Amino acid sequence: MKKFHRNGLHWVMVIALIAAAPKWWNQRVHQETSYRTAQFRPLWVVQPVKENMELQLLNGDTLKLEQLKFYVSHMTLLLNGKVMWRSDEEGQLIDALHPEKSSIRLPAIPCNELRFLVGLDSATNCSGNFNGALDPVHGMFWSWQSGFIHFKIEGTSTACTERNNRFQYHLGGYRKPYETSDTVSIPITSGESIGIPLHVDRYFSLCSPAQQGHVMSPGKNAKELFQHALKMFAP
Amino acid sequence: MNRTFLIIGLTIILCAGFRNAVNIWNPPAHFPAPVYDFKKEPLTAEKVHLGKLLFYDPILSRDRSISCASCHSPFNAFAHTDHDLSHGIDDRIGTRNAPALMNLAWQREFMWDVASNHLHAQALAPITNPQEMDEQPENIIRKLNRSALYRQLFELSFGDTFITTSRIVVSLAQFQLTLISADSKYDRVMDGREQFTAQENNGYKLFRQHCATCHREPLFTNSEFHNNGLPGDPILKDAGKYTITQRPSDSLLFKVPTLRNVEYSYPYMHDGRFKTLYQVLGHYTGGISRSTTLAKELQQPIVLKPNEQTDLVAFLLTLSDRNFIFNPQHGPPRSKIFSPPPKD
Ligand code: HEC
Ligand code: HEC
Repeated sequence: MKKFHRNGLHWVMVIALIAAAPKWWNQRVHQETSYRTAQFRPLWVVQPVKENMELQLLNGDTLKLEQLKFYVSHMTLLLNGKVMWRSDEEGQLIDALHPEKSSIRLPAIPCNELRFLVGLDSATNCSGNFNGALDPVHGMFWSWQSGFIHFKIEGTSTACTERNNRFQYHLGGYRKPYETSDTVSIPITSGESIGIPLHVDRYFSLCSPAQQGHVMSPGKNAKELFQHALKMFAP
Repeated sequence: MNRTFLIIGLTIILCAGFRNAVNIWNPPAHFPAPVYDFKKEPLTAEKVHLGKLLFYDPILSRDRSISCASCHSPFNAFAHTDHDLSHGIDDRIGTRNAPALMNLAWQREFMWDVASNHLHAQALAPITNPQEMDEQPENIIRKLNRSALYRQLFELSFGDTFITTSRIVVSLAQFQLTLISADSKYDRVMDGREQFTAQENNGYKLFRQHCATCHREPLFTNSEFHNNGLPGDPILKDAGKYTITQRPSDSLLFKVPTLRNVEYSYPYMHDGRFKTLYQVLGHYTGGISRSTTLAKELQQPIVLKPNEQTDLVAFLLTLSDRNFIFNPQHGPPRSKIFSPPPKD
């Protein structure tokens, strides 16, 4: 009986150790990695954009932005084309007009390129996962046709003929041929924090609220406007 | 020897932990592997119970007047009899017929037009639809948080009282996944416990010949979308799957519904246009409307003599599963706080 006890205890300890080892290892690795932040910074030509700030279009119209939100996913850091790190998060929501909600955390490792998907892939769109950034309370999910809004741009423009001069671009869709997600690549340097410029003016040089003020469902129009939105990320 | 004891002991403890899961998930042996990913989201008795209360509770609607069960009644195989088009909040009428709900673990895409890509996502559609429950997840969370009972049930199910959209839709899905219908006369004939009558047998033959490519056994749907030749409704102008995908080849395609429990799930088709199975057969034998996307199976006219139609209907009635319809585990919860006024 005594022998059983000793033997049994011995086994319990071995099992406990095996169970705890991965956690301990993980913590060790995480403690050793330090992080830095990458912040999306909306710009109107060279001027930082804020909510409801009056922005001047080339044709003389003015506009104000109320929402500039988008998903980023498949965050990857590369060094000379070689993948050094890949995020395991399903997607992050960037609320670009609110600096406290527009940064992502990256490990501080040697790298010179940041690559990510603007939008969410079709697997995430169909996963039935509504946790965290994917919670419909963020207003980025279409319940009537299940799929995420990948890019949301809203505001008012003097020339927009919609009600209350409001323009609303809800760009999303994951079904071919009207999928709205694409990879962008951004050269980065080392350093504490990285600023990723978002050239908002480029979008409005291609999409005029006066001509098209309203896109709210997946399809040809949404895909075209999404391509314009991608131009915001070009260096 | 001692080691053996320990291993046996550990095994027993482990199995006890999984006991609940084994009891509530009993897929029929003659069904294919389910589509729903039970590894990611294992069924538990607590979540199924919570999901059932939510399903029957009008708290999910803006003015607490409508529950899921208002449109999906257990006694109609979770469809809505007496309504061709669904009947929602403030007596608003929708544009489609509420389909029967069963064997959802084997279904990849939902709604007549493919609008929902996951059972979790599906629940958000009726909840937020202004014609149906007209409510927002934030408000539901607020209302549920005021109920001590729900806080307790969420804690039992998820380990803490935190209520989220995700937890609500997962629980609703878990209850709906337990709605398995696989105990009809057809099933008993297939595993040799009963026999078809001569009439049912002839109906089965005709069914295999004309209907089974789309209404495929044993689920009685191939989970695809087809144009079965219904003439378009000039008022509803429903383009089916095209509405969602914007692909011309999807114009007028609708989900192939299961035919299990058709006896209970009338009226039929996406807009509830037919009240009886004979009207449905009348469509397949003489009412097919030709258009570019008409299914290839229906290009040649289907010919069925009157007695053959009777036989085919006799076969369809062997798909009725009374144990499913009257299973108290699926039916309305006993407690009187959950008594959704039926909509009629
Ligand atoms: C006002 C009536 C109404 C209410 C309330 C309602 N539904 Fe439905 N349900 C429908 C209709 C109509 C459809 C088909 C919609 C379509 O195809 O466009 C449907 C479709 C479904 C489907 C898809 C079935 C399939 O085979 O594709 C599921 C699952 C479902 N409902 C579950 C629910 C749940 C869960 C709730 C409560 C949160 C609910 N319903 C509330 C009317 C309703
Ligand atoms: C080409 C595929 C196809 C074939 C073949 C086919 N069906 Fe269907 N069936 C469908 C589709 C698609 C629907 C839904 C159509 C809609 O609502 O727009 C449907 C709907 C039904 C419904 C209504 C069920 C409900 O719950 O609303 C019944 C009943 C039915 N079919 C019976 C039959 C019978 C009997 C046959 C053989 C004579 C048959 N079908 C052959 C595709 C098919």
